[in-house]
Amino acid sequence: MLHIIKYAIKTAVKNRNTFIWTFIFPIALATFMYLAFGNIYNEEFVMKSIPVAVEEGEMQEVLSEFLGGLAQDNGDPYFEVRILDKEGAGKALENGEVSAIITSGAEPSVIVGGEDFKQEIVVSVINSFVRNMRKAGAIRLMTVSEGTDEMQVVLMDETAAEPEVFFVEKSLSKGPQNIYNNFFYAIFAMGCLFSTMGAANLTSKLMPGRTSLSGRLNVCGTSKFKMVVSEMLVYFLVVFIAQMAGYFYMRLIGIELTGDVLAVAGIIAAGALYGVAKGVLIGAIPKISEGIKVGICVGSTMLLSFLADLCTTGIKAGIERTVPIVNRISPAALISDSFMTIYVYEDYGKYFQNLLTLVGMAVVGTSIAIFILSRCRAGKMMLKT
Amino acid sequence: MEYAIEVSKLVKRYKELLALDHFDMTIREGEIFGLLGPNGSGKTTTINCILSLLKYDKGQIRVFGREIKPSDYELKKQIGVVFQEVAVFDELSVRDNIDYFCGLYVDDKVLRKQYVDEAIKFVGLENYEKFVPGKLSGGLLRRLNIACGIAHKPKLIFFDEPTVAVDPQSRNNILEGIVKLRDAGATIVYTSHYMEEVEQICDRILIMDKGKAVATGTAEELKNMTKNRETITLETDALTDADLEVMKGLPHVYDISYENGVLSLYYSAGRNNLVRVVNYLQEKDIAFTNVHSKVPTLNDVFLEITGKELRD
Ligand SMILES: Nc1ncnc2c1ncn2[C@@H]1O[C@H](COP(=O)(O)OP(=O)(O)OP(=O)(O)O)[C@@H](O)[C@H]1O
Ligand SMILES: [Mg+2]
Repeated sequence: MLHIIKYAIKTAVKNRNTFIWTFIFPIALATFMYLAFGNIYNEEFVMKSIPVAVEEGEMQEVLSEFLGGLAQDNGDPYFEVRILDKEGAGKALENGEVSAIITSGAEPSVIVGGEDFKQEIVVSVINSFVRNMRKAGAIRLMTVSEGTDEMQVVLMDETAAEPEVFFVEKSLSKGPQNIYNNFFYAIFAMGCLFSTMGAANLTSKLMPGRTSLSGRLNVCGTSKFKMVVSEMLVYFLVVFIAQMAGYFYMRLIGIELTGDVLAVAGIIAAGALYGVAKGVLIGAIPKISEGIKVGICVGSTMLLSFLADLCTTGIKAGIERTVPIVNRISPAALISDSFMTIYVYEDYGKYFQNLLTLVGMAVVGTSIAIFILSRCRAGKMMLKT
Repeated sequence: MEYAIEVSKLVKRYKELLALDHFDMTIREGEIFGLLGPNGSGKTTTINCILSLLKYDKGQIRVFGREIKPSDYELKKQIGVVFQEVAVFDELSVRDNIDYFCGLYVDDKVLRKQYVDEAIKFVGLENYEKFVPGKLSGGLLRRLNIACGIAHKPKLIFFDEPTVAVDPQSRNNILEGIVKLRDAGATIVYTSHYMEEVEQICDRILIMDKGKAVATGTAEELKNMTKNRETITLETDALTDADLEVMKGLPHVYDISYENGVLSLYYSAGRNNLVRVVNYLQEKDIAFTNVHSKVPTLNDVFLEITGKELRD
């Protein structure tokens, strides 16, 4: 196995041209996006307060005080809070007077009128609030403490003997940037999915009858398991390193993808593994031509990216409402969602669930590919390559 | 007698084309077995079926008494294949290519190094170890292809037209090498449409045409299948009908022709045929030139059985 790995690396190094694209892709895309709207990272982003309605109810006090207390860098409030009854709030949302309604039940939830970054901010703030509220058990008091350069909103749990402090938002002033960060996460998600194409060749070249070389590799005394796993490993490393290089490049040019590097590496690793395994499976489909395999790779990558809002917005939310299971297994959604879990929600349970789903699908796909490869024969040999 | 390969009633179709038509073949352990047939007769198809690369429609194939399956890596470890089309990695050097393929069979590093060295020597590529395939001439590339197929010292080796495009000197080296491999205990399946090669090295030969086995045996046995054993031709323009009558009566002559001053005598057997003709002409003091005695080749065997030339 080490033997195959060694030569797979040698071949990869000699084949620089193919691999260079893997490296260029995230860096070029990041640069491009940075030029397109990166100025928000340099200039102070000034935004009008977002009008929101808080429904009348048991949490109305806490919520309005909480939301009203959040201020931007320049001192303007983030939200302009109105307390309305259910009907009034609905009307206000319909008329576009408010961007979102926050219900005041025992556990607040958000109703939004559209899908722009304002709504996303409301959703992420309330999600964060709810999560911390769950952790705290009961919230009695809310204090808003003003730091010198960053606002911090804290929730205090007074039921505990020692009052515990929960940070709701570490840096709300970066709110809008988090939204743009989505596009940068998308680069990783796409990078992982695009590795599918390169990986398809790993198994495609092992299909008997494709080329004289594939015939030669099929008659040798090494199991398909060893061959596939070794080659996959090498290609996986290439993709992983390329994505990580992209990540460090993004940080270098000033895109604030803060957070635990290990956590990021985990997502990229799981994503790359998934992408590579998917390619390996597609490459092993018998009886179809190379062209069709490439088509399946490109098509499925596009579809998955589209479903996960990597191209537009709104689709993912739509799926979440109708067939949420799709978002639980759609790789691009899992990847971008995992980034959200570490940057926005700090929800590691979800994080690991996403990663395990990706890795699980990769293992299943690879197993099927190896199963096919170790028993298929060609109907005919290609006469010339 | 142990059989290395038994193929019986093998049928392989490519859509409407019948590539193998109830093809039978048995190969004994330790022999060089020649598969001789014109282009498109099904030699490569046969090998690919035996190697479980190709699906086939009917028939049975046993290798060392076992039905070979795509995942029978134990059996595959004992087999070496030199495909008709060169199968090497363009990115790797000559040495790396051989080492790569050898490593798919042999784990021990020290042993592998020795095997690779031997394979390089076998094909005479010592001066090209660092070259990548793209920098090798056609003949050198074929020699690399051979080295990659045999480096791991397999018990059973398939050579599918290995000498195409190789110069006569190296070709001879390769043929001698193959004989040495046999002497070292390997069983060899050798396909070619060069009858001279096949005749030179093969212990037994199967002649195939249109997916069928038309004759099997040693070169001698095959040649004995033909009616013609010797043809003598000479040029002279002084023969009378009486002379021709006498010559027709010479021992073993079954046919005679005399056209444009060229006399041809066809013999069904016998020795000293030439001496008798020459003696007769001398007695009669008839001048002659350009005497040839031709014994049948495998091509003649093929011609007689199938009605066409082995090579076009
Ligand atoms: N992939 C294929 N699709 C269709 N027909 C094929 C295919 N491969 C081989 N054939 C046909 O099967 C027949 C046998 O081919 P094969 O390659 O076995 O011949 P061969 O004896 O090896 O010839 P050669 O001396 O040219 O190598 C030929 O008529 C060929 O055209
Ligand atoms: Mg052939």
